[in-house]
Amino acid sequence: MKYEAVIGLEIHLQLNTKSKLFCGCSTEAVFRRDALPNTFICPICTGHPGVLPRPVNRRAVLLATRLAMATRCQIHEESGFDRKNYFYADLPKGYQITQHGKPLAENGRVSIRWEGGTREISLSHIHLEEDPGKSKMDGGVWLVDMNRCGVPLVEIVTHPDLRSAGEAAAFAAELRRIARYIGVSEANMEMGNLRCDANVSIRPSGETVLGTKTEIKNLNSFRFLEEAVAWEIARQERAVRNGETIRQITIHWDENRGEGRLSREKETEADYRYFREPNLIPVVLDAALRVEAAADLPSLPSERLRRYTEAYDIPEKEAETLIEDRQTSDYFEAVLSRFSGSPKRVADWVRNYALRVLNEPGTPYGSLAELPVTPAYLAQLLAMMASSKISDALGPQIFRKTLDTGRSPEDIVAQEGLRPPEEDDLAVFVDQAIAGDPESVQKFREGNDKAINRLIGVVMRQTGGRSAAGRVRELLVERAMEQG
Amino acid sequence: MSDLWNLSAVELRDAVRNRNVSAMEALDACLARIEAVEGASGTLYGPETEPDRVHAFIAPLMQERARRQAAAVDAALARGDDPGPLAGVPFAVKDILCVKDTPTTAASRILSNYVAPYTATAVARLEAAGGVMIGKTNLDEFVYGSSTESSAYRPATRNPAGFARVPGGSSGGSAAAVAAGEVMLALGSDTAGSIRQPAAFCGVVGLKPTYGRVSRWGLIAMAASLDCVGPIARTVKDCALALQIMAGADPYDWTTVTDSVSPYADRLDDKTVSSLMRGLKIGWPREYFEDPDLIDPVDGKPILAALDRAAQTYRRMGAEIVPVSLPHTLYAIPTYFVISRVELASDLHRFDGVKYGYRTDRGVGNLFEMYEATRTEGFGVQPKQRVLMGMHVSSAGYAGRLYERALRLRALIRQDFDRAFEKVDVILSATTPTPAFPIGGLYGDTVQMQNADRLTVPTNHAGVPAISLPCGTDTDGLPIGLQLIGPDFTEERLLQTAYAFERETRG
Repeated sequence: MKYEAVIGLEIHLQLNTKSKLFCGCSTEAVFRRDALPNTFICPICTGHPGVLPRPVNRRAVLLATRLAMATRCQIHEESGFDRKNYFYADLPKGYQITQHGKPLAENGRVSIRWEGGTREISLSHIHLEEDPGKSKMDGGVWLVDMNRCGVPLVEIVTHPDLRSAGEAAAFAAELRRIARYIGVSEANMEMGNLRCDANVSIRPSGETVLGTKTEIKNLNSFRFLEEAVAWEIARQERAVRNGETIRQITIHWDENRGEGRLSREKETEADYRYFREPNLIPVVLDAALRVEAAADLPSLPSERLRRYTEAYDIPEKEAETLIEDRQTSDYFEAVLSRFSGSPKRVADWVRNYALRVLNEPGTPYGSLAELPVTPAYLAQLLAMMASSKISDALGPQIFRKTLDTGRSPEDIVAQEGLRPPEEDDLAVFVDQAIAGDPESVQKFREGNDKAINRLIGVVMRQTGGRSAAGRVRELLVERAMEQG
Repeated sequence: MSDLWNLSAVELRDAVRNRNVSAMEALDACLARIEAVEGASGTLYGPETEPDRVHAFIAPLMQERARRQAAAVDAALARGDDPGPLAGVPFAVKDILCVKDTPTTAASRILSNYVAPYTATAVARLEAAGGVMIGKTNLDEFVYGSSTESSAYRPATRNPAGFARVPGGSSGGSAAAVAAGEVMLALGSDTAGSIRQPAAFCGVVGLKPTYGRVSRWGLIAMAASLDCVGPIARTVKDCALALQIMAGADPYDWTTVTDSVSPYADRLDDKTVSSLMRGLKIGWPREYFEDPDLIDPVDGKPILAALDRAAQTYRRMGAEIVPVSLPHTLYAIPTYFVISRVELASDLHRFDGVKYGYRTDRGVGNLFEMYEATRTEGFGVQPKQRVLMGMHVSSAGYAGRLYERALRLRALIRQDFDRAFEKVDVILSATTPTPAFPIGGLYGDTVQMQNADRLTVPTNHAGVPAISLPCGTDTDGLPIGLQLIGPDFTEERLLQTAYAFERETRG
């Protein structure tokens, strides 16, 4: 019998806010590695007796709303906060403030590309909540760091729409791209800005009823997500083929060993005793906040990918490189808007020259937005080549000069005499070349086409690379044949 | 002027402002009075001693802090500055409110070593107005009780009106301290009647403001949707003064309202009050007087008689007594049982031995054993009972049947008041169904103890303000409390109505 995997994801994103969700403490500690433990805390986020949450961080609500818009959710005019009660060392209040009964938004959709096609993954809901702290056992001692307590999170919960480990990873990657495009989260998995839990079950192909699911916790890279889900699908298939029943358990992924640890936790769902947080009034999305959340909402990476492949005829693999981050895609589009030539040519230059600069060792540039070769300059350079104002061969050299000096390509060409020679001057160089290498001329006449290349090289050298190679060839061929 | 302690807060404040006495002299007078009547203040599991003393405070008194504050008030006056409307008035604070750099215990072992890193807004505002915080008063552990007997800090507080009687609770220490003349003013908190019931038992005035009128920042939560901070004093005017200083929006409590705050104390002039009484409609809720489950016709007789006299007094002043009905009153206690326990079980999660407070010193193998040992050793029987019940009624299988239903009942109780207030301006009732009961009389019977709040808890559900003030005594000389209830944010009229009665009956 063939089995089908059914996967749902719960993704936590730390929002890009300066302060925590319910107090004024800085969130700085989660964006850097050198923060000392318990230095970004106050009585509120560490759950002292008698404290109350401050009014919810408006920027967090705004960013969550923006994400809900970008994922095409129904956004609730009014949502509320609830307490999720449980004990843990890194949860100072003994409950997490979250949105259980009335989440911020529901029923969203995200398009992903998978196996050459487009899939629409539906979202159950998006809600706001506070991050717990961090704790660990170290040499028999519990260490607790509360810097992260109260950092604003959104949790994005999908319906069980995903059907393979690869697809799950593709969804997570798309969500990360969206989050970064719209500026709601750094979504850096290494820093814990994006964390992923996966619910996995299998069922016989064609079956519509869901099987018993297991939950894989705390996957902190897309590779681990894919590996863990694939491992769990295989485990469940093996178990079912052996006649075992799948039990509802939690699995912790051991990255080093490439296998899951099945936890012996209770099999029933934990009872969090949710109830409304009495210290907070409902979140009401006023018109101003909605307008602000929608402001400058860019086109999404999936829309851009479709446009690049369908309207611009750029191969999908190359288009994927262009949309991977927003700065690259925006750069590409900015060049395109100033250059009337082929989009493919723009794409090639962005990939082969501009992006390459970012990968050079010791490069000072983190993204294309910082590059001295601005989109306007690159468009200028491409236009000069397209109209033969300069030779194609000079393009890379001028690109580099612009990169190093910040001067425009036109300035560089004008000041450094890089324009192609006038036709009369070129004729002189051509005649000299023919006169200087009768042997190659003879070979060419005898039908060896390649022999002309040697002569082209001579002329190009003589003109400092400024000549359009095509024109040089034309003139050489003409003159060589005349002499015969 | 050794009888300075016997002045009202307003009188003392005026004397200090006029520089007839210094804040330091006033403080010394109160400290001397405490020395005379307090006996041993409560210490963790301390011995029961001195049955003829008040034991209102939890040791130690904040004498140094108080002296610094008093000196600052005197210095301001010497400079010609106004130290504020509470200049030099010594006050006490129920030990459920945090005061920076002082122990804040909630009368529980689990916070026995806790020193608060910040000050509750209500306390900070009184201090900023020139008040002199003298110490923290005893209470039922985590406010869970109506007699102050469940405190882990002993000796138990006694009722100055009869030392064999409980002072009521949970703000028993605050009410007893005020009644015994140890301070002019004390802060309490009221979740089901914890300000009004001890005020009634001890023969003083206690005000539960409208929910949202006074900030809860710094009040250790019992049930966040019911808790209110309020004053206890010997006069209505002193309560009004404290309220006008404490009330108002607080950025640290989202549930406070931004409505403007009246100068409540200044609105208590005889002329205004007399004209208000003429034609005032006072509701007489028949359930509170006729339902034997709410007030026993035999045991409650002296109370019903006192209330009759109170109604006569108001009639004499020109008010009209109008029968009203609050039909869901009987459900207020069961509703409270469920809602308060769900909220408090969650609120007590934070006391886990990880960050502050008591932690077990038994060798424990893992985190969850540490929690269990810490909470077993740190909490007394009252918090434990309530946490267990709260976890039970909010657990997945029961929340819908019990908690959700309790919330619906709460809405019906609120609706009772809304309907009654369409007909009347103020509602009058007894504060308690009996006068102060003997020490040990009810303790141990959680249901009976909770029932002591049955006439006060409906207003906590509804969020409306209520005040308790003395209206005579029974044959044993035990005080009887008159409760007045008003619509949301009508503290001004409520205080005026109370003041009219006080003026009329005190002569």
